[in-house]
Amino acid sequence: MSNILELKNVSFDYFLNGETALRALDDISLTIKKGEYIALIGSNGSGKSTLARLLNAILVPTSGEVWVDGLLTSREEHRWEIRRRVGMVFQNPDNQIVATTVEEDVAFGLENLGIDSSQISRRVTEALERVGLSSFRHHAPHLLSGGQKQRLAIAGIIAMRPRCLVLDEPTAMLDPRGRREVLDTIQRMNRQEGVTVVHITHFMEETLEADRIVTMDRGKIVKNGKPEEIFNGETDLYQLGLEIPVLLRLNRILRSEGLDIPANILNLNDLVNILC
Amino acid sequence: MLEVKNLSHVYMPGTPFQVEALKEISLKIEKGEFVGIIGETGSGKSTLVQHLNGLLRPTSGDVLLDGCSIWSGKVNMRAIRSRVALLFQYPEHQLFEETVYKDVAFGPRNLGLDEKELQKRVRYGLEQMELDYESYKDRSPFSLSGGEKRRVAMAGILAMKPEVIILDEPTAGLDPAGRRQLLALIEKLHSEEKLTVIMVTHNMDEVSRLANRLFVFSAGRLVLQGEPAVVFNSPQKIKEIGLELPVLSELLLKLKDSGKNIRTDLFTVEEVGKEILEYFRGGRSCKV
Repeated sequence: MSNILELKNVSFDYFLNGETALRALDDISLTIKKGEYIALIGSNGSGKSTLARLLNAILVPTSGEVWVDGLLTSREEHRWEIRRRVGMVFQNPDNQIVATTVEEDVAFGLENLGIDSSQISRRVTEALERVGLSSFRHHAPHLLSGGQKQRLAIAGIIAMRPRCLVLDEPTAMLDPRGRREVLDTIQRMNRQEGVTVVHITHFMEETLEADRIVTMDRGKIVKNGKPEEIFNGETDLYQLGLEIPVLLRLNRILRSEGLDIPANILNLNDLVNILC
Repeated sequence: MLEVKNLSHVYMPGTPFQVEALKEISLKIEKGEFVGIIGETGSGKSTLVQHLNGLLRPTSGDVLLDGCSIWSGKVNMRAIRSRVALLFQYPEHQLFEETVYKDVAFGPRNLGLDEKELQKRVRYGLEQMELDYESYKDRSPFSLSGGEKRRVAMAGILAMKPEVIILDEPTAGLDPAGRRQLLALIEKLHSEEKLTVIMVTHNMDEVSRLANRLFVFSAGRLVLQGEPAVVFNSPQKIKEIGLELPVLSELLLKLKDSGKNIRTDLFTVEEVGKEILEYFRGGRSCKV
């Protein structure tokens, strides 16, 4: 499989009054393959959001290179295309709404791309279907629930047919139902549509469906591997301000007391099946 | 200690935007309890807690503190708000003073305390939140990390020396370490400072472990209440109203459904681990 995202020795400094105030990313290299689902975790201030913003050229590196699908983010003439290929979804659903109806909100990005109106309408229909909001087409976005608003934000992005979706804590402000809806939508995009996903989260449970977890601390990548490797490995996640999902902690207790359970059991149904 | 009687609340009554946010709510919270309030977004949780210290006036019904209506006109609302303190969601957005000291002192200063007592209160609030008084007092709140800001906001309400603290999603947006630390501090306020705690949350795992009693809201109504073990023993109902079971409860209930004689009223990893081990060690039919 080919790489869709490639970071080569990337550093990023935030400046204040002309001086480096903070080195947010420190010599990071990372490649992400087409169709991968990556979970990005780390404590506040570890550099996750900065990294996310480098992926669609909202920020460009202070040094090093970020390649998106063969395009270099620091090249002004590539940026438009990069932003079409890599869509971003942020934490607060209310800050991402731009229009007065659901339909117009999804169409907003497409209009900016100069796509003709019959195609816009088709793409809006399709995008709303994919996030399960078809019946809300003519509704006012501000009356939607938090989970619906986030799915609307995702629809606006996928209508542009991006190859990659970058989500920065998309479920942080949602209730359990909203969270479930958004997670299911992200997973479907990845599994069925082959969209590459980079999902930043503080909820460790949400990372278990990922192909790979990238763990950050103070501007560096500390660990990069499958969920079972990250959570069962030697790295002290607590030291990094992270934690181990509840079921894996339970699994660990059961195994240490001699129950014969595979270490790579990550979800509830598998654990139930093993125990029954 | 706190009692809500037949409380209903209508937002924007008499307009086309009229919404009945709470319908005929009655509940009691005893001194020293740790109560969890759960429900979907828009179910009425935040509206309810804003009634508990008089920020909102019921459209009908009443709120009683130690048996006295807080709307009787006989009690001073400011005194009520220092006894029953409310911490909003994302409280750090409301920090505005130049120094941590001034921010934490803001509430108690309004109680008319002298500077010496004020200083004692600020120190108390910061220390309860494990923020060292000397090293934090002169710093700008805006120079702090997200987790620190949240704790400064919390110190501000503790400096009022409240008897009841109401926390509206206190851990929202924090990273795992920040969440763990803040929850441990809240637990300590409950167990050592003997504060009554009322916590609104979307996190079923946290609340099932911490609260001794839960109130479950759906569409403005109080639909379930009781100990976590009782509430989460109605999985059908919980899912119907858009909530989830704590993951450990879900596991135990599934094991029980498959015919295992196992307890389902446990909420910590340690307790659940012990129960499962005992079950299998007891040789009560097992494959593992």
